[in-house]
Amino acid sequence: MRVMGVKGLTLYHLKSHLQKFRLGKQPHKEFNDHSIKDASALDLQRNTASSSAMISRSMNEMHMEVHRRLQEQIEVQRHLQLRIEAQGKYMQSILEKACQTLAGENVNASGGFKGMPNQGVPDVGTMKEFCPPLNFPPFQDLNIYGGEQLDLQHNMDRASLDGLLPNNDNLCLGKKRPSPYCGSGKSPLIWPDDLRLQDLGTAPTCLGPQDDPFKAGDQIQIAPPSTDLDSISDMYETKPVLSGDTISTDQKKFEAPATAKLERPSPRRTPISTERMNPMMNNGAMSQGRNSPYG
Amino acid sequence: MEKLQAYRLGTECFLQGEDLISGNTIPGDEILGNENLVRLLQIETELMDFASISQDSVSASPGSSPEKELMSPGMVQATQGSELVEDSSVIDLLVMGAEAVEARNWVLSLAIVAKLNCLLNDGENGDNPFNRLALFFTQGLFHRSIDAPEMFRETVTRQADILPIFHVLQELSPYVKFAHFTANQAILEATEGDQEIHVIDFDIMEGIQWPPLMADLAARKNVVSLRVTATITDQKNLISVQQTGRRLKEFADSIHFPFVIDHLVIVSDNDFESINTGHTLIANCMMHQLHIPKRNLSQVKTFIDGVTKLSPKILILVEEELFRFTRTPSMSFVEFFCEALHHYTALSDSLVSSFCKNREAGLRQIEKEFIGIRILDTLGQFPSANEEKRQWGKGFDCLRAFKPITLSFCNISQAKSLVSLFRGGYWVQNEKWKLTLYWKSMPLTTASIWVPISTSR
Repeated sequence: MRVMGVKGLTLYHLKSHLQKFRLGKQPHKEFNDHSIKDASALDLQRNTASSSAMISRSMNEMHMEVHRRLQEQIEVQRHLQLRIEAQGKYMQSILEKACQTLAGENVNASGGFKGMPNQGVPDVGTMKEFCPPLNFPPFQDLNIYGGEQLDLQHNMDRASLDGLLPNNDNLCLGKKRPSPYCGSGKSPLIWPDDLRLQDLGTAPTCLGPQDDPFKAGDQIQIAPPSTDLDSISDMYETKPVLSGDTISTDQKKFEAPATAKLERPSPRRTPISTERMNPMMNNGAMSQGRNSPYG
Repeated sequence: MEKLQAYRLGTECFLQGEDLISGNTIPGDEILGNENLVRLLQIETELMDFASISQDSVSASPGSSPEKELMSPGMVQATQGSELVEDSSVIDLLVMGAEAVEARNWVLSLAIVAKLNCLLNDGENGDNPFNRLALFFTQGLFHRSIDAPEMFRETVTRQADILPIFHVLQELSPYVKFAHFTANQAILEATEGDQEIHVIDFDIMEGIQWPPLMADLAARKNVVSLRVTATITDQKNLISVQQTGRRLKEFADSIHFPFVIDHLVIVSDNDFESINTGHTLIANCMMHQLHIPKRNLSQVKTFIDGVTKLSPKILILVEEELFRFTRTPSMSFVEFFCEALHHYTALSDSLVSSFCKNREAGLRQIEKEFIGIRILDTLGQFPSANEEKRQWGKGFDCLRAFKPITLSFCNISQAKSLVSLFRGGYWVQNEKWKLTLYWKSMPLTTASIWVPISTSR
């Protein structure tokens, strides 16, 4: 700070921008800001006396340092995303296998869940396999495929499913009640491929029949929405979102508009990998009200 | 929960009075014991300074029946004060129970257990997470009172059943990911430039720690191979470990990564010598994680002793705060009980904060499968006899051949990024050589990296 006045101004610029870096604001925006101000600061320097060269050098050094730190952080986040993704893939594969194990034990064979051309059918097949033998009331209440399984609802305590009811309305075929989650309610049907459906099947099989519905799906949802959605949406890119694939015949009329909406916003993405357990999950996402224009 | 400490202190004052009374009761005559207990509780609550509790709820008429007296706090409309009264009376009872257990006063402890059972199962008090937790603690006290810790294992849930619940747990809370990713990052840094990596894993569980590591190693320029040796302490786990191994192998094949997995049954630390090394050796020890059922300290000690002989490059230790090796083991059961109460309540709160309000069922499931079992396990494991305590105290000794090193900036940075992905009051703190995951003000789990003192990296 040997020469005050104009130089003081320069350093002030520098310090304020470095501070912003430290507080960790948007890197790119930051960067641009800094480079612009840097340029203006440099301009100022050119107008001043000899020691401006040294000042600019130290500024550059700090500039580089900050840049380096930022790069590191970005790297760290990128790696983290990749790791979470890898773990997610593995988790999914073991969940599927666990599901298959259970399915193998419980099969009442209303049709295998592999190699079905129409994805709606394996849904039904899967559900039928899992629900009746285990007499799992809550899952039946999910009732994606309705009719016959609605009967089994009587077994369970409907009162305890209050939390699920709005979602259930969507999912029950044969109950075309209007619901705010109308669009979202179809979402689990939209994107699951066979794998997901097996996962969906996992949920009921893995809970005791006397337990409350496994609403964890919703809860899984809870964590991501409040967080950095962009990074998570990138992370969970693992499963392709089935756009426009309609699944069960009854759902078709609801799906088309819903799909388009559902795909785009990033909150929508977060359920993808976490939605292994429970179609409710997506509904939960919707019900989170993440300013998505659903239903 | 500072109030816990306050209550404890208050309880101690009354315990002497209580002894007099319980001494007078006929052993086994629990009804009489209950009445006295209730009266004591009343006196206790009246004399204690509860700022937020309304006096009306506490000063119940002495003439009414004991049951009703105890219930009157519960019957007050759901104001914060009344909830605190319920909580506090439950906590008081729990602590009194712990003290009774420590004093080996089984009559009293069983009486308290009965009272707690009654109180907690009473629908009026509400079915909140804390009450459910308290019920587990009550069970734990019960098992210690009757000195039969194995009894609580009624049904062993199959791994396939538990898996989705575990999945929910690890999605919702950074607990698991923190441990694994920190460890993996440390492994990556330690094996920079190595060709073959051999990891000895204390408890492979479902193996979810390794796929991310495989992915990272596969991305390296030079071809790296990974070998994981899973140690098994119980023959019963053999099948599930083999199954996990197969699944990991499949994953590795899917990304074309050279991976080998084998397992080793460990009974004593001599068994470790049968592992042929010569590659870079990493020891991975995840201790007392929420999802690991029934590991005890002696097994960990065996593991670390054995691994010491093999001189690994690094040893990664991730410990649940309650059971940290480096804590002083010489605490009384009551202190330990209170710590455990504190810890698991924080844990439960942290999970609750991740759940939406009315989505309780999933939380209940997690509690039942994981937290509940952990609580019972924890309480059961606390050494009762002095001999055992000494053994426990020696726990830290097995780390004497190692010294801790600081975690890298990348690792810490990763941990911070990770917790920022989760909702709730999670944060990490880096102190010298350990990285701790906190929830609000409560430390949950700590990761640390150790290197053998003799070698230099």
